[in-house]
Formats: sequence, structure tokens, C-alpha cells
Amino acid sequence: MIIQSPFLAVVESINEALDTKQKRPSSRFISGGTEVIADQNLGLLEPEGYISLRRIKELHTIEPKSDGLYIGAGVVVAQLLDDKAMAQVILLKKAARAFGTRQVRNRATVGGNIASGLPDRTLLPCLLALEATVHLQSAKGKRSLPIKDFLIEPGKTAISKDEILTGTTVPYVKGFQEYYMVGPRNAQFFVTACLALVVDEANKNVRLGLGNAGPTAMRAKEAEEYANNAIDWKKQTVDETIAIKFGEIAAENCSPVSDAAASAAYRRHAIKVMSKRILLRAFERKQ
Amino acid sequence: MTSSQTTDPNVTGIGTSRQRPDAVAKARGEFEYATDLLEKDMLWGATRRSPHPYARIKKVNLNRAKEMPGVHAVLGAWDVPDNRFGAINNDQPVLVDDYARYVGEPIAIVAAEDPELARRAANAIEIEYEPLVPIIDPLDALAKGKIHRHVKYSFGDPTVVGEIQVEGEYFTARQDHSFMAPDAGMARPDGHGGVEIIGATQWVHADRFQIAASLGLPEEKVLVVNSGVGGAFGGRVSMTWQIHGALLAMHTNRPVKFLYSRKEAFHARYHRHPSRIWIRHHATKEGKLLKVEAKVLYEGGPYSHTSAAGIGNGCTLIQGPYNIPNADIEGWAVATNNGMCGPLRGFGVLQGVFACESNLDKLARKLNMDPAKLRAVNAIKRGDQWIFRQIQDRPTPVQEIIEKCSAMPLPPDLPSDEGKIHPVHLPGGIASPTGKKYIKRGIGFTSAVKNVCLSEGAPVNATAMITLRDGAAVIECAAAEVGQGFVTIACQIVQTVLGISEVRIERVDTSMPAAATTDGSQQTVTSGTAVQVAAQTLKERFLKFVAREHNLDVNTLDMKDNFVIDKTGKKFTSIAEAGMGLIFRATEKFSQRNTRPIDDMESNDPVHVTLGFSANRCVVDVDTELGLVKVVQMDVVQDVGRVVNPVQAHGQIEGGAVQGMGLGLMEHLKAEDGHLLNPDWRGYHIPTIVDAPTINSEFVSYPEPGYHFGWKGIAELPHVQAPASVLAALRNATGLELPMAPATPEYVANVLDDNEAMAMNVASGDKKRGPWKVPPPPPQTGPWVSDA
Amino acid sequence: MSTDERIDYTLKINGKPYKVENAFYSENLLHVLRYRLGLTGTKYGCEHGQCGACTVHIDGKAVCSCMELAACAVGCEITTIEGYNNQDGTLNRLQESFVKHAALQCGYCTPGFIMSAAKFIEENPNCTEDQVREGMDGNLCRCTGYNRIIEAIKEAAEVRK
Repeated sequence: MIIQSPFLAVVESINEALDTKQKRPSSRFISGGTEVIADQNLGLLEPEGYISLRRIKELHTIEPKSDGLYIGAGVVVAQLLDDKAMAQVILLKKAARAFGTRQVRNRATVGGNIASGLPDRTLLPCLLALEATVHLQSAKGKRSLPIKDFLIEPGKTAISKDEILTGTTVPYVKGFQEYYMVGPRNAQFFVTACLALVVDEANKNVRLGLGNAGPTAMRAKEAEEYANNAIDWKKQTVDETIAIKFGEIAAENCSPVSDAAASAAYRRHAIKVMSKRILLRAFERKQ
Repeated sequence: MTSSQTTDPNVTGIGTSRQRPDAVAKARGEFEYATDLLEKDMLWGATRRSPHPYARIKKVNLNRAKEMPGVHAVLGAWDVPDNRFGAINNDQPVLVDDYARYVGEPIAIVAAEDPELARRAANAIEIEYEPLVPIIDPLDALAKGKIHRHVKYSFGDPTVVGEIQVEGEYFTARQDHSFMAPDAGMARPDGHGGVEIIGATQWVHADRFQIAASLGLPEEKVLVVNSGVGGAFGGRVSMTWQIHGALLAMHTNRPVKFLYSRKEAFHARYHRHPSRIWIRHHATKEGKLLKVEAKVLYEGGPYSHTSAAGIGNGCTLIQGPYNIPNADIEGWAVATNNGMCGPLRGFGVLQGVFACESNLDKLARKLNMDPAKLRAVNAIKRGDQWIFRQIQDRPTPVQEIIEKCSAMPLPPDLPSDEGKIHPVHLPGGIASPTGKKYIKRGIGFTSAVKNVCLSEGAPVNATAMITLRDGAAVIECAAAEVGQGFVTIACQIVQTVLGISEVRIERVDTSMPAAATTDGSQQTVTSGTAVQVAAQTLKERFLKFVAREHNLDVNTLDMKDNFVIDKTGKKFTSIAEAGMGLIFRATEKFSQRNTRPIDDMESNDPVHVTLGFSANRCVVDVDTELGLVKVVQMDVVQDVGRVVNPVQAHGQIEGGAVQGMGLGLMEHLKAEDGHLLNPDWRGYHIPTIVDAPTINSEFVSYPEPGYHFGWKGIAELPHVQAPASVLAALRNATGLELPMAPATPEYVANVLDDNEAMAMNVASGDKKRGPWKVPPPPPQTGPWVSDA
Repeated sequence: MSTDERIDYTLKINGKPYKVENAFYSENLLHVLRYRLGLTGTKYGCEHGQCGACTVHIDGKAVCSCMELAACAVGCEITTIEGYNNQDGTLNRLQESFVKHAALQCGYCTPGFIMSAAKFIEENPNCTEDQVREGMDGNLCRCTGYNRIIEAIKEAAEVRK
């Protein structure tokens, strides 16, 4: 352990982290700090102790495995842009480019983005569309669950108090992958709404993840179902009416909020338009 | 491209792009700003603020905070000797005593050994409130008579009716200064019963006056020092922590540091007055303007601050830079509980110009006339009379500016090969869902006017003292440097007048005589002129001395290139040697011409000291379906008088244009039920490097009479007209009316919640947004004056 | 309040050890640099990661010091503008370029811009304007309108032949 004080621990292994957490249940796990420390500085949270996971080396690996690309929770977003292995999961690379700012990308971790559970986080719609698995560990053992079951409500996830998020496995999917977002200006913002589309050519389906379109990041199941049936998989084409319908269904089935950044109506509209365009984009090269 | 122009540390004198004297220190991070001040044994101040927009204070108990370890003082309203201060009127409590009138209003203050302790102590103060119903809608404030100032005047024949009439109602949002360095500074006891305040301000002397009064001290017991200022833009015209710091320093007999968080600064400071303006232009079929009618409503904060001046600026310069023979104008600045309002670059004028230019857009569309041509046809000329009964008696190159701006080259279209477009050039930026086929290009054209110097009877003057010794000069002038570059040009002025290269300017404090406030684009023309006049006097004295010592005719002597020269230009002796080691000094005061309030019908003084003009052509790429916007380019031509430092002048235009673009597209500090919804930089968005367009700026330069070197104030105009210009371009691309700045994506995409309240509350955010279909106003009363 | 909240540690800044004593565990690096160690070249702008005025290098990466728990930087190589500066008081090429192009007015964002741009140029020599815009997205400036900042960085990034 690098620092061990009553309110702050900088640990070097998962076991140390879990041990410390057991002894200090009110302490909060922290890694990149780009969300938690910013919130602390803004007075949005009163800390009752921190356990820093940043020095746990085993959380920093990106490793191609048979069932997909394993990305450790401590991997920072800048690594998603730079690491060669990321060529196999192009969607995350695209999303990483649009993520926060240069300084934030150097610090924000994949684990932090997932564990926040907030609806506007960049990586979540991507991981949903890719059907990623998240890995959790506690003193009692390890468990893995699909990302869709991990997200419960805004800021609330399936992670329990004595657990730590260790990483995610992202299946390799052959086919088009793209990430779109809209916001209040042209760089450096919390997304107004975003989405990620994955076309699974092998299984002939499309998967659409939505961000800030409801209480958590979510899949647009109804729209996907419609598209899977409507798309001419043989010819690999989508005509405009299908794309429009796809967008309309996605928009109908989301439940975004109104806040200072945008109205619910605009968010719904953005989901509609982005869904339409992303589907057209996915199949336009084939035409 | 103006950005190819560069500075030079070695050039001297007026007309050169001399490098800022503080540039090296700033680039190395060694320039000391108010936030940087540290002192041995200093305490940290913290402020307890009202969480309610309007509440009666029933009880304040400081005891728990006082008992905390490390806490040295906890003070409330009863500890303030004179608990009323204000930018103009003393109507604002230093610490709330009876009623809190906005969220964030200070109630009690703490000094403790470190910031965390101070914060905790401030939180430990026990306050009981009786929340009251706040006024959050400016129309409501107007109906209830909560009026800071009512302006009403007409000009020419207000009954004239034009063949063509175009009217509209226009809105601008609450904009924040968002300067980079939050409010901060140090207060320290001077050891002799007085106090020193070192902070960031736009006017040390105004601060001293108010601090001394509140503390019950004579002014000479208070020294206000301007440290490095990290941007101001009008936001440091009045004080935040300064009196609090002084009180705590006096109570603890220790230096006390204040440092506001960004969020605290949003609550503690004032913002640009949100506006709601109804305007109707009457014109001939040929587009000649005959009359302007307007009802101007500015939302001021609960205290008067500078609202009276703001509404005065708006009610006069809503005319725009156009000759209009008839007018009927009425305006109000009203009080709400949505937070304080005050000056921001382009004070009061921006809102009026936005309404005027937006409505002229509509007129141009109705007449099917080129917007630049419509403006050129109506351009005000020298000798014309303004609707506020002032003769335009100085150079007036409005038509020239408009024509020059129209002739500037337009940017190329986006490449047709989509793969060649870098996403930073796309509406929406990286990961934008847009593409070339979704993008429409729009072009907007506007022109604008801004008063230079404070108006309507405000005294505008400055004193400067210059010392010459051994061929080098030192300037003492209390004009606040906030980043605009007065320190550079003051040195350049003295270099030119005295013909020397080595000139330095002292740090500003109240031991110097007063200078003008850094406000209203007035520092060059006021304090700069004081420097020039003082330098001139000094030169005469010095040459008289040289003539006497050397038995020469003073009229044959001059100073140039560090030498005393004769009429033929022959170098006689170096200025350093000619001074014989003696110190030469001159102090001079310069006053701008007097001005009169709008409604003073007796006086023939002008309302505004002088006026500046500019034109802006804005090019945007818009994804009309999603409302995403990329401002591609802004071309600005400005009437600048004689330019002292071209690079700095271009810099003012570029920075101002982008700041104005921010209000045009994204800057909206929203309030709901009196609470700010987005008081931090996560929620309040200012333009980033990706948002900033290419800006090309050109000058039109006629020496301004009344000033030896013919200069003119320039800093605000680019900001004043940029929102109007951006919106004009967006209207051109979308065909929508877009009556409100900022035009956020939902407005540009025209996606608004139809079922929500139709009445638009400028101050409020989400619940009351809507397409404000207000019924046309009854001609006598305007849209909002109720029968009562 | 518990005294347990206070801790002592040593940071390695600009190659030198700095002792931090009796600091709250929750203090961010920006605060510790500026107000405990007096290294005020790193600027306090928003303290929530939006403005980049507080940019420093930690183990060779440009990061916002405001979102870094100071104690968590123990054992890291921290470089601030004070350490990045030429030690003889002169300007380096990037800083010279900022001054020459008038890429600063109030100057408060400048040290943060310099620290970000230094890393950006290292990774993107001979960069284009577009790359500067994308790569410098983490620093806000309210005075200049950015045009001159882009010029300054582009020129400083040109590889000398």
C-alpha cells in the first residue's frame, strides 16, 4: 500500500482494496478522479474517505481474449485511442476520441465511466451495443454480468458495497460501428444525447445503444427489432423509409429528461434523427 | 489574415504592435494575479450565502462556528459599521440584515486557518429563514412597480406612419462574464488602524470609496491595490469579497485571503441584464427608415447596481447606426430576485442592438433587399441627429464600414469530398451526426453602434503622472489593466510624445490620483489622453530646462529617438544626459466632455461622449434538422480612430467577437424559481477552441477630434454585434425567426415543447420556454404595461 | 472534524521533493501546489476540469491538477510551469510564439495552455490547424478568441529543418 491513513488509502492490489473497503465502508473508491474530485470541489459530495485504485497494475491491462477484448477498469480513455488492440473494437476508439478533453482522457478510466451509472456517460451506450460483460470482484469471489443488467437507475448499478469493478469484456463484432453525439457546443461537453450503433453481420442484427435518453443508458430494443426484420440482409441495404421508422421507434421508446442543457423534446428529436442517420450511414457504403 | 500580425518587443511608439510589458511574465506563469496572493500568517475567508431567492432572516446564530477550532472570526450584519453599499446607489447590504433578496446573497463571513476549516465553519452557522414568494418574472416586476428606472422619450414626429412596418419581440439571455480568474484577493491590516485590499478590480478608487464608507473609515485609511487581473469584461466593476475581507482583517488583525469557487462566483457576482424588447420599424418601400418604436425591458437584480445606466444605453442605442427621423421609445429596468445584474462588455447596448438588427433582418426580408444594402442606405452620417437629440459631430464612416465589410472575401464551401472535412469544421464537432448533405450555409450581416465612455452625466476623467529621469520615464496612472492592454499603449504614448524608448508603468493603487474606470471602452480615450497630456507638459518642462541650461531657443528643440534634436533633426544631446540626473515630473488631468441624462431637455450636452461603429458579416454552417451550428467565419470592420497598437486592436475584436458568439449560440445562465440552474462551467458553456471561427478584422481609421492623437475606444463593439450577426446568419440558413439569443440547438432545430407555457420568461429556463406568441401590443401601451 | 483527516506526504515536483504536512486528505493537487507549496504558476480557474488553467504534467501526461488528489500523486513525477520554464528566465520556443502572436491578453489561461500545448506538440509535430483545434480542446480562453493561440501553437510545432 502506498498510502494508508484513516481516510485515504492508495492501494496496490485488488485484495488490498477489498480489505480496506471492508474496514472503511464509508470510503469511496476513486481512480481517475475526473468525476469524483470534480464533484467534491463543486460541493456535490462530502467525502468520507477515499480508496484510490489507480496504482493497481492488474486493472490497467488491455488484453485480447477468445471471448472478446478484455479492458481493465483502470485503463484510461487515452489508452483506448492509442492501444493497438483497440483496432478490434473500433466503436470504443471512436467514442474515446469524442470523450471529454485531452486532460480528462488522460485520467478518466473505463471503470469510472461504467461505474458512475449515469445516463450521459460516453462509453455506456457503446458497451450496451457491443453487449459487453462487466466483471466484479469482492472478498467472496468474482462475478460477471451483462452490462444491461449492471445499469439500474441514474447513478445506481448492480455493484454492491463490498465489490469492485475490475474490467469489461467486449466481444468482437464484425460489421459497422459508429458513435454519434450532440451537445450544447462543438467540443468538451456532457452529451445532450448520444448513441452507438453496432451492425452484427454474422448474426444479422443491429444493436443501438442510447445515452441520456432515459434514466440509464439503454438499448433501443423496439427499434432494433423493427430494423432486424426490415433490413434486406442479403442486399445489405436500408432505404430511407426504414431508417426514418427506425428513428421514430427509437424516439418513441425513450424517456429523456429536461434540464438546463436541453428539453426532453429536443433529446427525443435528436435520438430520432441520429438513429435515422446512423442506420443510413451503416448501410450506405454497401449500396 | 489578421492573425499573421505579430508583436515585437523592440518597436516603440504609437502605431506599432509593441509587445505587452507583462507578456513574458504571463507566458512563464510568473505574473501575480489576485488568486495567487499568499501571505505569512494569513487566514482564509469564507462566506455563508442565502439559499433562498427571497426570505426574511429570522435568526442568525454564529456561536457554533465561533467555537470551532482554527476559527478566528465569524461576523454578521451587525458587525458592519455601515451596512449599505452599491455600485451607484447605496442600497445593497454588505451582509444581509433583514431580507435576503437573491440566492447567493452573503449573510455571514468567517476567517479560519485554512480554507477547509473556513468552509466548515461557514456551514456551521445557524440561520432561520422565512421564505417569501420571489419575483422571478420581469413582467411581474413591471406590473408590481418594481422599477429601477423608467425611460420615456420621443423624437421628431412620433405619429408618423410608414408604408412598410415590421415589428418583433426579441430576447437576450443572462450572460456571465466567465473571466478565467475567479474573484479573489487579500485584505490586510496596515498596522495603523487602516486596511489594505489587494485584489482584482476595474476601478480601485470606486472600491476604496465604498470600502471606507462601509467600514466607517476615512478614505485615506483604506488602500486598494490592483493585483494582476485575470479578465474582467465588466464583471469587476463592483465588489464581492472586498468589504468582507476588510472587516475580517480588521477584526482578526491578520491578513485574510478570499478565493471564490467558480460556482460561488456565479452566485456572488452579477450578470448581463436579460432583455425583452418589442420594436417596430417604419420604412418607405425603398427601405428608408422613417421611425423606430420600442418598448425595452431589462431584468435587473434586486438591487439597483448599474441598471439605470444599462437601460439608458439600451433605450438610446436601439437606434443602431442609422439615421431615423422619428422615434418613440420607452424602457424599464425592473427588479427581480433572480440574482444581480450589471455591466458586461457592451453594457446595455448589446440587447438593444440585437433587437434592432434582428428586426432590420425582418425588414430586409420583407423588402426583399440585401441586408447590407438596407443598412448602407440608412447609415447615419456626420451632422445627422440621433433620436436622443444629439448631433453626430464626429467622423461617421458607417456606410464605408458596411461596404468594406461586404467586400471582404467569403470563405470557401465545405469540400465536396466528405472525407476531407476534419470534424472540427462540422456543426457539432467530433462524433457529430452531421454530414455535408445535412448542412446549410447561412450568411448574416449586421452593423452596430456603441457609446464610448460612460454616458448620461457620469463624470469621466483621469489623472496621470509621468516622471522622467536619465532618459527613462515612469507612468503612474490608476487605470486598471484587466488584460485589455492599457499598460502597453500607455507606454507607447509616452514613447511617442517624449521620443524615448524606455518607459514603464507602475502598478495601480489608490495612493495615485483617480483615473477612469475600465469600462465603456473608455480607457485609451480617457486615461490614455491624460497620459498624453501629462507627457506633453513634461516635454515642455524638460525642453525649457534644456534650453535654459544651454542657452537655446526652446522653440527650436524637440525630442526624438532618445535625443534632444534641433529643427533640422540634428541630434543635440541624449535625453538622458540633457536631464543632468534631475527628476522631471508632470501631472495632468483630462476630462471628457460633459454629457446629460436622456430626459434632461434643458442641456445641450450630448448623451454619449462619442460613438463607435462596426459591421460584422457572419458565415455559419448549420445542421438545420439537429440545430447544430459551426460558425465558419466572422468578418469585422470597425471604426477605430487612430490605432495605437494594431495587434492589440485586432485582439480586442477577435476576443470580443467570440465572446459575443458565445451569447449568440450557447451562453444562457438559466434561473428557475430564482435559483440558478447551471452555475458552473459544466452547465454554463463558453466557446472552446473548436467553436471559435476564423475572424478577419479590418480597421477604418479617421482621427477622432477632441484627442490629440485621434484615438477611439474599441473594446466592446465586437461583442455588441456578434450575437445579432450569428443569429442573422442562422435565420438565413434556417428561415426561422429565431428571436432569442442564444440560439441553442433546440431553437435552431425548432424543437420546442408546444404544450408548455407560451409566455416566455427570459430569466427562467426550462418550464417556460416556448414559441412566445405574444399578442401584438396595443399601440399606446406596448406589450407589457398592464391596465393597472 | 477528526485530526485523522490530516496527512503528511512528500511530492516530487520539478525533480525536487516537497514535503506536505498536515494537509486534508481530500485536498487536490492544484490547491496543494498553489497554497501549500507556493507554486502559483499553475492557475486556479474552475476546479472542475473544464478550463484547463491548472494543467500540469504527471508522469509525462497533461492532466488537470484540480481533479487529482494530491496525496495520490505521491511517487509520481510532477512537472509544473515553474519546472517547465527555462531556468535562466528566458522564454522557450512555445512561450516565445505565444508572446509573438499575442496569444495572451489577461494571461490567466496561458500557463495551462503552455503546459497542454507542450505535450500536444510533442505528440503532434508539424500539426495542422485542425489538429490544434482538436488536440487543445481542454483549455478555455475568454480573451483572445483563440485565433492567435492556434497560430502560436502551429508555429511552435513546426519542425525546424
